[in-house]
Amino acid sequence: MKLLRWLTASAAILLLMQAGNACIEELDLQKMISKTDIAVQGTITDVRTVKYTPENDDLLIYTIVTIEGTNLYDNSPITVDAAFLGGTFEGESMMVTSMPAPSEYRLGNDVVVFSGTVQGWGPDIDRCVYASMGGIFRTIDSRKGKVVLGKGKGFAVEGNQLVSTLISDIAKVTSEAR
Amino acid sequence: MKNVLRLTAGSLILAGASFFVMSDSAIGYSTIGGSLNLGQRDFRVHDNFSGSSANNNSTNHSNWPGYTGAELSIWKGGAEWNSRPHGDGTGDSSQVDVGSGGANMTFFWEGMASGIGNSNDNIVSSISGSSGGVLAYCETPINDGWRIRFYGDAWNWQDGPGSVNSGMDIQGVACHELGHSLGLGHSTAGGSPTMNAYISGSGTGQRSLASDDIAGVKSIYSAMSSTMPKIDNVSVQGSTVTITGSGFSSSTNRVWLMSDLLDGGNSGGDHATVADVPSSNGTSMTFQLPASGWESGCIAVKRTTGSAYGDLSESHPFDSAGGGGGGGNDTVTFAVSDLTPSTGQGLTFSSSNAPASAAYTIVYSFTDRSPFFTTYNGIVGTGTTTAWGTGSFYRVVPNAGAGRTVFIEAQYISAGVVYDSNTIRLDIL
Repeated sequence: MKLLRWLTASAAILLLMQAGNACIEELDLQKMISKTDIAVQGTITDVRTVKYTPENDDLLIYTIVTIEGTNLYDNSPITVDAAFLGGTFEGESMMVTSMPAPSEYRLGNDVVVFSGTVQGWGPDIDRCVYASMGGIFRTIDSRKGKVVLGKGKGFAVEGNQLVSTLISDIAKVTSEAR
Repeated sequence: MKNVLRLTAGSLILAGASFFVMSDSAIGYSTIGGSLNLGQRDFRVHDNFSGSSANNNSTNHSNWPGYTGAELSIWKGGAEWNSRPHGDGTGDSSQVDVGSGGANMTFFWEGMASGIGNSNDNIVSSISGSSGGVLAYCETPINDGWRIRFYGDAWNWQDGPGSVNSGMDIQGVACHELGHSLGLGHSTAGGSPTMNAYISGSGTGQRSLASDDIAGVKSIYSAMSSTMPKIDNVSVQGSTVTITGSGFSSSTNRVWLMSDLLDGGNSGGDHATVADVPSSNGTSMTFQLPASGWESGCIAVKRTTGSAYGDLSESHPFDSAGGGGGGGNDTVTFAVSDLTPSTGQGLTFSSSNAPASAAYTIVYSFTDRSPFFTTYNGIVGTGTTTAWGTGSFYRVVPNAGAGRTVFIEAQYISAGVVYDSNTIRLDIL
């Protein structure tokens, strides 16, 4: 059992190291909250891709993840379809440096996703994983409760922390903003 | 005993984890796999940034001839990765030297592109619409090229060149994205290296490579070879160019000039080459500029016909108004009735926006591409523009052109000034 905990800890450390390659602005939790209207904590129940060609531009492929869970901003149950640029559609790939690592958006993963609305991403998408790889965080179960895995300095979730702590931090930031 | 075993197993796992963490903090950089071969060192800009602040720097600098605004910012962002300082290294008050990579890696600036290109055409451009919180991205894989897009509408992009007090710095973000294009992932090193996962503040800090970025580019391309060609000075007298430096081959140097082919595809990224330039002492070489096909901007020397990364020099500023009219910006619009003609087919070449009543010459670009009209000595034909600055010229494609691809442009002379057209590509069937 202890060995299992050690392996879990090691896995968490390794997860910390495999962030994607976005070019994003520095986003602490306060800034992330100010730029998003949903933070869903739950399970990825669907992953699919769509293609869209904007006017006077080239084909784009988006990955849409469906997350079923709870909105951490108001504690309400929610199902969210959130997209990020990049993916593979019917054998055609668009791999971009802003994508999350594949292990982060796998079907069945437990995650926290910060999401905001978008325009111009085609008819199938009205909401994004904000900052792409900077807006999705894995969660794992521990003896003390569910843990959200941080991505280091400059990200909304910097270090590993209990989801309950994240919820408290969000509430604190939100109340301070008021 | 059980506890000892548990402690040992736990310690080993912890040690392993610590090793990763310590490695990260000590090294920091990461790679995404692959490298850019010498045929993929070109980079261009399709300047479709919509915000005025992305293109409000109109100050020229001798190290960066011919380009200002977003184009200059992105040029400098790429040149920072180069093996040695670009020219004398000046041109940006925020940096000591532009060009501090120290590896066998040099981007070769090819100026403007007329479109965003395909995902492997090595063109930087802007994309409209919501960014979803992302500043810019690079499409990979890198081995056969890349494409970089800035979310142009979503952020307040600034072209500098000095400090940026509000908005995001094009140059810093370009330097970061071009780091991805050459094969680097994100860095976990402290001190906000260029390849940090996020951009701090306006991003001007990302203009200059940190030691970890330099270690990263060296890990992919190796540290700059001691035998790499190096350019110390370039002088131009008329159409004669003399390059001094070191590491030149006695007979097989290839001089890279910026192509003046303006397109939104892959061809515009091909440099114009002056082949087989000798250097008797390895430190100096002289050659004649081609009649056409090139533009001012930058120059590089590749020592041999091989493909070793260390055979290519750093890029160096190159500014010449001479050379038979090949240099300068494309100010005349040149078109042809069919871009994929058959032999025996008649073609009409047309000009617009040209000087009025000016003599013009239609010539082949890229002298190393073996123009097929050999009997015409590289000249397709001559004529005079109308009083409205237009022109029309007819020529039948000869049988000798079957299956060939040629590049043709026009030069117009008015009051002693040479005006250059865009270059058109003909793929002959």
